[in-house]
Amino acid sequence: MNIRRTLVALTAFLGMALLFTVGTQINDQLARYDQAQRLAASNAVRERLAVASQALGEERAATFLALAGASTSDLSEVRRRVNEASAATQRAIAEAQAAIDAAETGAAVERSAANLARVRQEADAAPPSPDGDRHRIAFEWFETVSDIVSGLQSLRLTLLAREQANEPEIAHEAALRSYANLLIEHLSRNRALLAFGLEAPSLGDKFLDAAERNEGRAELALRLLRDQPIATLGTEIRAFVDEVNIHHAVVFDPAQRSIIAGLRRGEALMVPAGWASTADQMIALTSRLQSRLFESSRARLAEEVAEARRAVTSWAILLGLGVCAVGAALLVVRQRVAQPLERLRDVMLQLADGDLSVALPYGERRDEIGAMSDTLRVFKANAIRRKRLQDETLQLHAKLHDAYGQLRRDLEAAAVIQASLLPRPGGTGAVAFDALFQPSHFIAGDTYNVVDLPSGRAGFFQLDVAGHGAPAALVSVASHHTLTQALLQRWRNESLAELAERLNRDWPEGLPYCTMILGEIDVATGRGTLVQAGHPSPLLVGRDGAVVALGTGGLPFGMLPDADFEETPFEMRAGDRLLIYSDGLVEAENAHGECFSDDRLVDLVRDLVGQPTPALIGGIGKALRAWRGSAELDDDVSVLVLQHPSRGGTA
Amino acid sequence: MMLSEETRDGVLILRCHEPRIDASHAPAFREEVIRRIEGGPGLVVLDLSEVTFVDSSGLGAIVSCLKRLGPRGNMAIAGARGAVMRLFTLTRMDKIFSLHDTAEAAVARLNG
Repeated sequence: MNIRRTLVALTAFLGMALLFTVGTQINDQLARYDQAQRLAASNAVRERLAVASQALGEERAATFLALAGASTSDLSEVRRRVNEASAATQRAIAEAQAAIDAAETGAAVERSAANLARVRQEADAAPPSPDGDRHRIAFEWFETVSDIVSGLQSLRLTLLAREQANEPEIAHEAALRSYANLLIEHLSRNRALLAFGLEAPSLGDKFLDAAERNEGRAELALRLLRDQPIATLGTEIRAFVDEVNIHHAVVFDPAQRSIIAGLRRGEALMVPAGWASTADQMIALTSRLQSRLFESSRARLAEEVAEARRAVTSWAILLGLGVCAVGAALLVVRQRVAQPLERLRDVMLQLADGDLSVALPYGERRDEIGAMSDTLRVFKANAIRRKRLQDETLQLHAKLHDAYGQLRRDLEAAAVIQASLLPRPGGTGAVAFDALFQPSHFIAGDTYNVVDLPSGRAGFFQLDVAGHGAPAALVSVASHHTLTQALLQRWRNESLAELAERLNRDWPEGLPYCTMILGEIDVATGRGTLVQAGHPSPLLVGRDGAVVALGTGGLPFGMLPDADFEETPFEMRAGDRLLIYSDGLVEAENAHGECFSDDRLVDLVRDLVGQPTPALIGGIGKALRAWRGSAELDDDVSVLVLQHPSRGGTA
Repeated sequence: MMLSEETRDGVLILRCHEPRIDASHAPAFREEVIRRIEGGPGLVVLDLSEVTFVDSSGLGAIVSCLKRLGPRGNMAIAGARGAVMRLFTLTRMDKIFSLHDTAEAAVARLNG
């Protein structure tokens, strides 16, 4: 897993965790908001139901009293109020439908309305004369409408059971309202019953029992109302509850009890209008308490809804900010960290591949990325410098290679020229000869020549300039020419030694000296002489295998201007060969630093004496290579073999 | 430093510790000998008892050192043997230098 993925994954993980937390909160707050809305909707419906119950209670009383003949009041006003309350209830149900399922409640209210319409018709159809029928109809009306009111109350309680608030204040208020509603209902029943009783005192015990039951229920409701923990509901509500209690205890209940007691005794102690106003006052007090409770609950629920909405909004804003923050973090990680790292990595790889033209990014940044870029810049500068040095070295190598090639070609050409100066082996002239010529490095300080002299003799020389390589080779070539010309143009009576001394005197100061064998041979007689100037002694090889070294040495040529040279005479018989060699042959060392030596040469020549001259030469070359272990030489090697001129036996 | 030096009876003895005086050593050998005899008494013994091989370049270097001494000076060779002695014989160096077995003999000869 690369850094980019790690960073992005970490950031994404943190972001997800944040979003999950905030999302959970939003979900909770949405649920709370939903709950608050449901409670508010349910509360509104219940309020309308309570109002409708109360209005219906009033209509029940008015109609009951009218039917019983105790009152002649106009019913249209109370009916209108009931219809309005019913319509308001239906509207509230319709509005609540969005938040709660109130279809059943609506249907039940519908049925109640229809039921009410039916009993209203029955009431209206009652015979006008105040007789037993009319009383019966009045009581039937009373019972039916009481059932309708009970139905509405149970609808309310069903809703309350379904949408119960968790907040204790709202729950207490709901309970208080229920008890207040219950209280109003029973107050309302007794208001009607007792008003009727005061008009017609002979209704009997059954009627009064009903009134006492109502009284008992009202007291129960009142006690429940009183026993609710209302301390937290505010002073106003507590004051209302107290007022209801006090009025009940001081005014209403004593009046009610005295009426019931009087009626049991068959006497009316109070006028109906007085009772009606007492009861209305009590009902109005309770109704005010109930209204106040509804108001309070409405306010609390509205506050709860608003608060839930505010919370949802806050968390939603937080969610938005969180999304932005996570997005920004991902963007920053990607743009400012991951992407630059990847680019720098690519650049490093390119640099490592030797691509020095690559541009370095992020140099303007002042953070770690910028520092890395700066470091890369140093790497790149070093690499460029190194490359330049390398190129220069390569150019130098190429130049050296060219120069060496040129030098080598020059040396090869010089070697060809030097080889062309040497006489062609064989026997075209007065004397037959063969030679081995091996420069140690292209060109040699060694040289030799065999020339036919005007006198009919053959002159020859072998020469080895001290040192080797190009300087020795130049001296060698010059000496070759000088000696050849000197032999050809020798003064008439000049001996070889005199010739050598003359040339030695003329030897330019500062040139390296050389060693030399300079000789001549009479072709006819086989007699010859030679001058040995520091050169190894030539070997006179007899056909019988006898090997004789000629001469005992002499000063090198060109070392001292006033040097004297001696002549050594020799005589070659038929089959004899004269072998002249340079010190490079006998001083050639093997791998152990051991010289090939004069003795080994003599032995070798003895072994090869039966061979023709080219084979003898070849044998010496082969032995030399074997001795050295390779064809490479430290010093130039030349071997010149002269064959007895006229009576060659083996050549 | 292929040479060590010693002065005995007014004679500078140069002892060569390099076993080979060949083409590769000859220039340095010549330089060093010349540096040591420069401004000296002019009587020099070159002790070659440790030298086993001298080639033509080495011989040229030795002779050029003698030439450098000029007519007033003299140089003797001591301790030449084997291949070195054979080379000196072949090239008749006895005509140029006096050859001695030991440095003492050479010093005596130069002072004699």
